[in-house]
Amino acid sequence: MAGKKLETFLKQAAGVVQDFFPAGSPVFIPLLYSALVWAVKRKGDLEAEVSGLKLWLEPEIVNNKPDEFILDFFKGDPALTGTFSLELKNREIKSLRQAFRALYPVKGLEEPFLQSLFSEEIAKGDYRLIAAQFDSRLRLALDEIKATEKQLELWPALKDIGENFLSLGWALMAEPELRARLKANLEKNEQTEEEE
Amino acid sequence: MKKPDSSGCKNKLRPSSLTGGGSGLKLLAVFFALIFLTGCASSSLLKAKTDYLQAERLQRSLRQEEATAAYKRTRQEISAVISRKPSGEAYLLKGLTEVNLNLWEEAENSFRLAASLGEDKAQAWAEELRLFGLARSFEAQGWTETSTRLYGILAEKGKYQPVVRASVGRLVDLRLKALVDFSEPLEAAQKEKNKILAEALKMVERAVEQEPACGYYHYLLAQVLAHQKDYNQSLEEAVMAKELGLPSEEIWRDNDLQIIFCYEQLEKSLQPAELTAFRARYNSWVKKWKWPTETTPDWKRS
Repeated sequence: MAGKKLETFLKQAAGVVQDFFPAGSPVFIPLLYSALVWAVKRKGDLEAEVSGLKLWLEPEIVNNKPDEFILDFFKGDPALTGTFSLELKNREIKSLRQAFRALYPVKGLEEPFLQSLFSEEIAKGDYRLIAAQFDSRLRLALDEIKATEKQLELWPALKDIGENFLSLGWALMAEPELRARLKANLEKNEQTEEEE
Repeated sequence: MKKPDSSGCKNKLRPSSLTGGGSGLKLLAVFFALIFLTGCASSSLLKAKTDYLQAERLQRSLRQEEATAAYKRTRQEISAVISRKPSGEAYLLKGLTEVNLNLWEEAENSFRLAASLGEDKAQAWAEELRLFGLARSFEAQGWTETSTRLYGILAEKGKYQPVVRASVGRLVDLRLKALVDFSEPLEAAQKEKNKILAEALKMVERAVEQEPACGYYHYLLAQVLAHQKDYNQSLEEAVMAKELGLPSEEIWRDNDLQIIFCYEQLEKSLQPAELTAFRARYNSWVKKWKWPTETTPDWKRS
């Protein structure tokens, strides 16, 4: 019953947010997902969080990590070790560093917007695709978010969704469970809309 | 035919005495309106100041997103105050808020206006911000040496703390970038790399000496020390950075992963006797931070 209620809530929420974006936009689901995760984390201002994205995504220090740190990052995650086994075996630091730039914020720092933007690739374990498309997909997403800055109603709408979400008590769910259910429901909604 | 006035009302003929009385009333109304607006402006200025202090408090508690929202609100409030009654104090507050929102150019402009309205210290801040802006644009155009020189001047001689911190950060980034980009044969490269690292270390150590309680400087130190493979010292600096506080969630998380990285490296290299004492020390921190395991920070989910 609760599952059905959650599904209905997410469907309605997706409907509200979708109106702010052009059809087929890659951004609205990550944004909604982030809104709910941030609501649970009791983060104050979603707009500030989203407008802070550019700062978040451009940490210079990420590009300048020591080789050992990069190797440790890839070796410490079995999925990444498998995907980049050849580069790790041959110690191809240059290619690993390039992939690290994209994968460290997603897998290491676990930024919710990025995790959702690349949720499909993460689920499939397609980390090479994340590395290859990171810059272009991100630029596209940020451009679309920037375009919504003029739509002042978006932020209160997202805030309402977050508050409703909290008032319905789902925030008491364990966070990994919540994230898994959110992802499943949002992706289900997306598929249904595509079929329609 | 008489035209309606701008308000859309028809002109009416009035006795001249009444018209004269109207001017007096108008003057009085303007006078009271001015007093009212001045009162509003000063109470709004007070509100903006209170919000600014609240934003600073949030920032100190590492509630970065809420702090950003509070700074944005303060900026809107103070802009409204300025449009009613510009003053040096209001422009100074606007500039301070803009620095916290990383709006460097806007902050420079606000400080200049504050200085022109009598806030003397704002002039020096505006100059430092102008130099910082210049360094950033040189850097963006690939003029690394020039930008490094400018950042160096600001890091050493700057008086305005946010500019000094940002300059030290940029300097370290530029030095580490040079290190990563190095493509000379191994032996020559190592010598040059050691030189670059020694320079970077000296730079941050000097900053730490000047402001020992700045968590961000300890974070930078931890990064440089990790490049030197001094994991023990890097871990200590990263712990200190965590305890003193860091400016953003991103840096906070990266610092946590730095702590774990150093822990894992030391686990591999320490002798059994040292390892026991090290683990006990490390675990006391893990317990304090409420991490689920030695290598899982509290925010880590997957």
